[in-house]
Amino acid sequence: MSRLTEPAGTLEASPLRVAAHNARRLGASVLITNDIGEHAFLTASDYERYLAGRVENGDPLAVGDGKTKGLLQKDFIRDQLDFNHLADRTVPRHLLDWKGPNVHTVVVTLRCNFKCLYCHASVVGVEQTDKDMTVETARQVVDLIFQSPNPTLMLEFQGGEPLLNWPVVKFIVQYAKEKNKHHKRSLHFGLISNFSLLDDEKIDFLIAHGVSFCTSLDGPKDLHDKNRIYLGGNSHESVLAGLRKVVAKKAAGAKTDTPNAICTITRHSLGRAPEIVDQLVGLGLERIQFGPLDPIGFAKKSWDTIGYTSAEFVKFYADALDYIIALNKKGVKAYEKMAMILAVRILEGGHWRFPNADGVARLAYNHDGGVYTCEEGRLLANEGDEFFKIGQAGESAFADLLDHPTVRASLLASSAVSQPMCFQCAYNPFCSVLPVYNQGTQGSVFGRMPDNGWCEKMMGLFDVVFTRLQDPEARKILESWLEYKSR
Amino acid sequence: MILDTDVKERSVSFELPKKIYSMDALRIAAQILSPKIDVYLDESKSAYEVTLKAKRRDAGEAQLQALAGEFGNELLNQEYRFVVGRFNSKISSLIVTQTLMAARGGETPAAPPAGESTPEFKKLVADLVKNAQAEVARTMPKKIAPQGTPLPPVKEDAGV
Repeated sequence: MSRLTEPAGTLEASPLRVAAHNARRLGASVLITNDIGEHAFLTASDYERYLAGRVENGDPLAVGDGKTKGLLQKDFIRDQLDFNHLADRTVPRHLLDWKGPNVHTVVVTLRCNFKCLYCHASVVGVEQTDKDMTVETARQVVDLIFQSPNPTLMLEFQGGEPLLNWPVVKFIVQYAKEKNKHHKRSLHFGLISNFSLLDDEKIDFLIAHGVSFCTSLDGPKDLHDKNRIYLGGNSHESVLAGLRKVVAKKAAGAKTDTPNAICTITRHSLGRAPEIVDQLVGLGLERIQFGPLDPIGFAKKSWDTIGYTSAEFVKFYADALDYIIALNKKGVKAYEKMAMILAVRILEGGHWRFPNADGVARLAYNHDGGVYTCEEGRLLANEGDEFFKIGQAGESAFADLLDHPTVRASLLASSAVSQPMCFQCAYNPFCSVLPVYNQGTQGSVFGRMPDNGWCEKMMGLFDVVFTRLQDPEARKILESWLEYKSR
Repeated sequence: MILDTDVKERSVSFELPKKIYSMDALRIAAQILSPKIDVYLDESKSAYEVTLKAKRRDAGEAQLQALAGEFGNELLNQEYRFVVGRFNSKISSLIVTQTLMAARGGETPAAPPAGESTPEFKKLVADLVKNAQAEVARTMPKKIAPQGTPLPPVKEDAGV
């Protein structure tokens, strides 16, 4: 079935009363959205009435019920449009004052001591130190990062396993902090690690310098160990040991955030949503974050054994979200990150036109100083597709990166106003197009939405979240998760 | 679309009406699918005569039909992009240009702070570099495995 089934059928819209909108049938309701990010749920008969121009200005559907806005206030009634409101909402959405990339992923080594089934990172063995970032390259990378005009900079250490090149992690933190005494930015660091090499000395240094911790935990031991194979020991236990150490330091008064754990979903995870959530919540983690697999990079090679359809992932996600919502009803403090992000976009209109913003909001730096529009673009390069490489630390100036034609092409591809199918989609104001996924799976940054797996997955996730938003109790819980948006 | 497949030649041929499809869309679709197929074009007055030749040597009847389907999908996609572009390309281009200009910090990006040029700062950075290089030399494995060395086998107690 087409993902763009037209709820209007053969009905013709009244040219005077019906403003530009997109619609999607969700169960018994019709969801309508417009380009400023407003949405409304209508019954099928109300939608017919609206299309026929029979919703008068005094109609409860038009004016709302005092608590919620009606179609008039949301600018769905064409001859009553409030152009000042439209302009106020349109300008920040389309012409945001971009401040330059703020998220900078630094791959300090390709070496890894794990051999995960799906690792996109195309890692090398622990002895291959020629795949480490050198101190000189690290200095050039930090210099380039500080050329970004953004007042907030976030440096994320990734690998391989970044702790295998610990001296360079330390150097980058120290050098960036020294530079920042002159630049005076809001400077943040994050470590994404398997925690197997995380000892007290490293934890103390990282906490002292304000580095946040993030790891991967795929669920119960059998599942985690099947996905994430530790070449030197017990994978699940090493993650738990690292998490417990950081949590214990925090409990003892260390100034650090609760560590985060990303849960990658493979075929082995399907049907096990409650167990996985219980494992994460049981460790005291508030943020539940699922990482769906994409058939690009290394995961493409093992797709037949660990991959799944978008529909299978959406089913898993719906089960997991319902379980977390049920836990919330029992008083457990936990939230699901994707639902929180979508809720922010839907309920606060806090979404910009280029949600991924490769090149203008984030950049990735390979161990050799190669600069990419995003981490996934670097991973594609490991497979031989250098399309997303836009410069070289030590050679390129920051402005050269932004002037690279790939950045412009990625932005054009990200813009749903110029994408077939996206521009007719009810989820357009809230959704993200991922050029690197399109390039990796369909051979062009623009992609082909009707058979695009990312699109299918995102539409499924929006179906799940919008459906829960119609349920008053679930909506209240999703609204309460907005408080986590700045974390 | 009527498909004429030739498994021996690994090729599939079909006609496309010129009224619907443009040469630009054909070229873009051919470029996008170039890792999988070579595209040969001929034309009559009213139609393009397209032959796709699979690059995979083991392409059979089903694969050839699937390639023709994928090519047709990409062609439609590109044709539709032209239609959407006619409506939205101006606003899209404006948004992208404004985004890029703002994100690069305007036409002339700011110069680095003067403090970074002082001898004190330069010495401090040189010391940090020296210390980090010394730690690398002290702690890193001395042996560099040749490129392409496979990862070691998994230990029995690794939980698999």
